[in-house]
Amino acid sequence: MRTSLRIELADAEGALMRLIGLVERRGFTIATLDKAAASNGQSTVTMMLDARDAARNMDVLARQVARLLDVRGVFTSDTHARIAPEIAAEAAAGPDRWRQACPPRR
Amino acid sequence: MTALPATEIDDTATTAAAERPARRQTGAHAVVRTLEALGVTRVFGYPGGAIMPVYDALTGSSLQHILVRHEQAAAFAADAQARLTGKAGVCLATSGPGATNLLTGIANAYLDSVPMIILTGQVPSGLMGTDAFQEVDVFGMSMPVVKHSIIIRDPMRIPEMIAEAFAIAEGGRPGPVLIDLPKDVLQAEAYPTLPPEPRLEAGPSHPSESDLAAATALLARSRRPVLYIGGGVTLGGAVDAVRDFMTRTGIPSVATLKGLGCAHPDSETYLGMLGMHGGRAANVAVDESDLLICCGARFDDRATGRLDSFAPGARIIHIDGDAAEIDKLRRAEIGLAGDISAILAGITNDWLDIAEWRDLCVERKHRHAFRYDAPGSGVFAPAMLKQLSEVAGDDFIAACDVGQHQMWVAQHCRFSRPEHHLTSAGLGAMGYGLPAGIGAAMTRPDAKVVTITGDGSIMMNIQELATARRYGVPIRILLLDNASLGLVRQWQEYFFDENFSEIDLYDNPDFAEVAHAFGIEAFTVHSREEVPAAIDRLLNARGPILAHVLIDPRENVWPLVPPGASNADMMED
Repeated sequence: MRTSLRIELADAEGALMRLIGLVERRGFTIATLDKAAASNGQSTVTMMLDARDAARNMDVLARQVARLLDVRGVFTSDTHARIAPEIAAEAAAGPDRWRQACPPRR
Repeated sequence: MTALPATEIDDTATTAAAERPARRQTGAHAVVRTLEALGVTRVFGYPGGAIMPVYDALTGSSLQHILVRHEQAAAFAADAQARLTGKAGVCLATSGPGATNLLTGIANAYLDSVPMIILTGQVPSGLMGTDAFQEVDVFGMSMPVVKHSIIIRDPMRIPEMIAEAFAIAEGGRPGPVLIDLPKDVLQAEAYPTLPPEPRLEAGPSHPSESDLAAATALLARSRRPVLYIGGGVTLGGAVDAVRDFMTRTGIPSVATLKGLGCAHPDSETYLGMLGMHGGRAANVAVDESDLLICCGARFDDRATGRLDSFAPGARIIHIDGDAAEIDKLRRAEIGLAGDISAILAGITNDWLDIAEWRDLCVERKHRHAFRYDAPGSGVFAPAMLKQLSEVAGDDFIAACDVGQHQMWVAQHCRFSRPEHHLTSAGLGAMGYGLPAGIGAAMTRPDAKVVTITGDGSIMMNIQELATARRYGVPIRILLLDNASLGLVRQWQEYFFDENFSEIDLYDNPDFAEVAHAFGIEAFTVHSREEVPAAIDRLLNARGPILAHVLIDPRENVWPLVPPGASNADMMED
């Protein structure tokens, strides 16, 4: 299943490489990738992803992406995916299309 | 032979250098002063071209530099120190081969969530990207195995960025942080300043009352619950909370390799390690459970066996400090990410009725207990390891290598605390034991630190005997020699039609003589009757000592869950 992920990324050295590497390594292929120019030290990356097998879970990936120190926010477009309780409140408060998958680390 | 005490090391060169006139302060000085300001007292490393400015700045520093003989050992020693203290261990190396030699140690720390700071020299900024001498992109190469990494390009930001690296390494779920230091940055003028207070990661979240109520309700309905303990309990500082929970609820518990020592070793309801080499009582309890409370564990394949038949009738409550572990491999009915201690304290057990189940699990534990009455007069390694840990007592710290001996330690040794079991769990890196033992013995010279290794593993980092000798490290090395790569041989015996391919180490050197050549006391144990005296000699040694123990090459690790099988289908001797 193809799913979209939107990431708010700090404009830091290696941040994009780290993000792409993690997504690939965790079992997803990147079908498309769009990165806006950085503004106020941050940019937005939007990716369309395909899971390599049925066991791959987009919500787990979103949480793994959120662990990256350069990631300021993660949003998924898959509103039907199951989410962990600690994320539920964030999800409920998110915009209609893009659900914030994880609270910011710092 | 006796080891050279640290005080006898010739440091006249260092003293003479310290008396030279004050020199211009550089980025390298900022690195050293920042480490001092952050409370670092010891670093493990190996010098070379690009990192030489830091070594120059070490002169006169309060930092103790431990010169290892291979960079991988620096990482492993720093790893062990970190596991024992909970504070980031520090290692440093030069660019190129120095940095690549660190990578196995970095991966080891990443997979076991160990806080570590790795300082690597780098070629000057202007040469980066030109394939310069000893240039590799360690920043890029290490990305999959670090929690974070940075290249410091502004010497004035050194204090701030190093302080932040420590906060990242030690905060949240710990991990290694690599700091790449271009040589021109290290040589540029800089004014060492106190590092600012780093920005801290958000602390662990607290579960809601409704989540805890749901977990309590699930527990109340259970008749066959099992507590599944992993290394996240130690990382979350929740060992006491787990022990309290076990006492309060009486729920039978099992542990992963990294979870060993979390349960009190004398707890009646603790059933031992689960998984590929877990005990029958532990694996059967999990298989029959109707509720698995996974606490700081990650459903690793070595623990679960075939995942789709792991705890097939159980609902899952998954408690972890890291939200990314919830649902990663097994869906949880209730996922609770946050402070493990607070979560366990919030789960009540007023309606728990499991006496029959608990009694059954305890009865099985006794019925399937390991036996130590092996026939013959040769050394039976499981019995020797059990006796060693019992004689050493609560101060026993084991630094394991990887192989059959690692599994025997996990099965048969008694650990009073999880930090006392140093093992390469996630990566399974042969060569870990000796440098980890050195790091541990320097950190806890008061404890009974024993490196337990095999004839295959010790050859991966045997050069570190020189480090043990140089610093007079109080490390005991128990080398179990079966003249083969035993765990590989065991798999070839059962799963590759006895096609024994490249596992025969018949031409090993005489390890006692090798130790003697390094200036280390050593002796060989040939038979079972020599074991008590050997243990006594090992544990009462004041400096480095090696016991070379000859064991039967045909000895195997039992039980064993075959690859791709369910934990319920374990093979036994």
